[in-house]
Amino acid sequence: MGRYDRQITLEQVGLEGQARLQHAAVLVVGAGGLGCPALQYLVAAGVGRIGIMDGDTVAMTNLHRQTLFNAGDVGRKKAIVAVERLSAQNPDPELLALPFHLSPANALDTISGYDLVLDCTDDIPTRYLVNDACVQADKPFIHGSIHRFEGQVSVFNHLNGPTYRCLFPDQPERDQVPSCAATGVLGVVPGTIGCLQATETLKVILGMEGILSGKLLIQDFISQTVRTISFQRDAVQVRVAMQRDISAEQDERRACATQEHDGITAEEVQQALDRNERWQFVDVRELHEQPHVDRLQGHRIPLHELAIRIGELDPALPTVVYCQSGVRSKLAVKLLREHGVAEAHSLEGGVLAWMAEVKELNT
Amino acid sequence: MHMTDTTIIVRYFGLLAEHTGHGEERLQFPTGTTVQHVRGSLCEKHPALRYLKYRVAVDTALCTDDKVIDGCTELALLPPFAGG
Repeated sequence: MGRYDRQITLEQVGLEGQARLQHAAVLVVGAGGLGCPALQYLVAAGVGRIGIMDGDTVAMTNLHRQTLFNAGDVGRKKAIVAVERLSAQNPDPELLALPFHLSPANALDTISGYDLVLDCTDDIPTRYLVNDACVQADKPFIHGSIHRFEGQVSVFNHLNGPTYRCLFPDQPERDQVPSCAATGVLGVVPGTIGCLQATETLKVILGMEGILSGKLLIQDFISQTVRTISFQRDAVQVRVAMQRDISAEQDERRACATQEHDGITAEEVQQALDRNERWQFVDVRELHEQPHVDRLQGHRIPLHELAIRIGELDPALPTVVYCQSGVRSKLAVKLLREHGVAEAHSLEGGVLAWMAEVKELNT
Repeated sequence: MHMTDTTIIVRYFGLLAEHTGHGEERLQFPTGTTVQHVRGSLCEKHPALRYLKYRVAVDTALCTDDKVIDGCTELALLPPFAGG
């Protein structure tokens, strides 16, 4: 019996559908928590040509959720390891490793070579870049994203359907929306959402009904409730994407890095403490969050209580606000400054950056 | 509760739940109120909302600020997620 017999048996696939899958070219941007499971099922289903784009190398902290990789792969390029594993899984698809990040310089050229795109990335600017490049190249794309125990899935720019900007027209700053490294993640959450992205990809290729175009699926993995929110195409937002001059842009990551004003680095805080300067520290994480840092001991006020507990702080003291990764603390600094704590700074990269800095000093 | 008040379940998704300290809240608003008005009073209650980008869905349909909330049961506040 053939490899694809069980899916060919389905009325929605058949021999014609299988041929469609074999002739499809799909670009998966990001071979991480979402990309790994999506890739495994697309390869298993016999999608003809798949580009795997990821500039990262495998880290030990990836292994609990990025199921294509094992401990021996740490330090190797994800895109290259993924192609090795997936070609052993099914030799039929033509797999291409693209071991670099999607950037304004390469987005249009790369995306133009495929029929559709899976957005399996993990930061906001890249998600807007995927959208704008797909709108300009006229390609549908399948979005998946997660926040702790919640996931979102939608199909954008499909047959003149709504785009990512039609749903979220105002692009948040990069540091306003935290990544998995900052929030924590249970592997099954991106695992499930990545599988849903693969499902929608197959439905689009097969021309099936019920595609999540104009619909945002939101799954809460704690209550196991699924909601579907409907939304419309917004011509203004499509124009914004069309008119963006992508290839003329500088790499945003570098541009963002130079725009920090209200931040303070772990190294600068270390130096101030070494000089015995008097600072007040505010930890805006929830009380259960770890680790506690002795040298940064001070007020513990979860962000959502900060507005009503601001009176506990001394507005005259230079203040360092910190959280896990530096996202919540930036918001907290805005609040504090509004309430008269003028010299408030956000610890860049949060406790995670602090721990890395201390580790560096001790090795 | 005023006779013409309506009860709305406000659900906070993603980061918004952490910033407000709630997954959901039951709140009273005058019948015929707009999404904009509800957003304004939520911001007073949870100042962090002012700095966050999110969309509002009324009973599972995305809507704009001028939407009048009549007989609505659920208002969902939806931020974009980054993680993957």
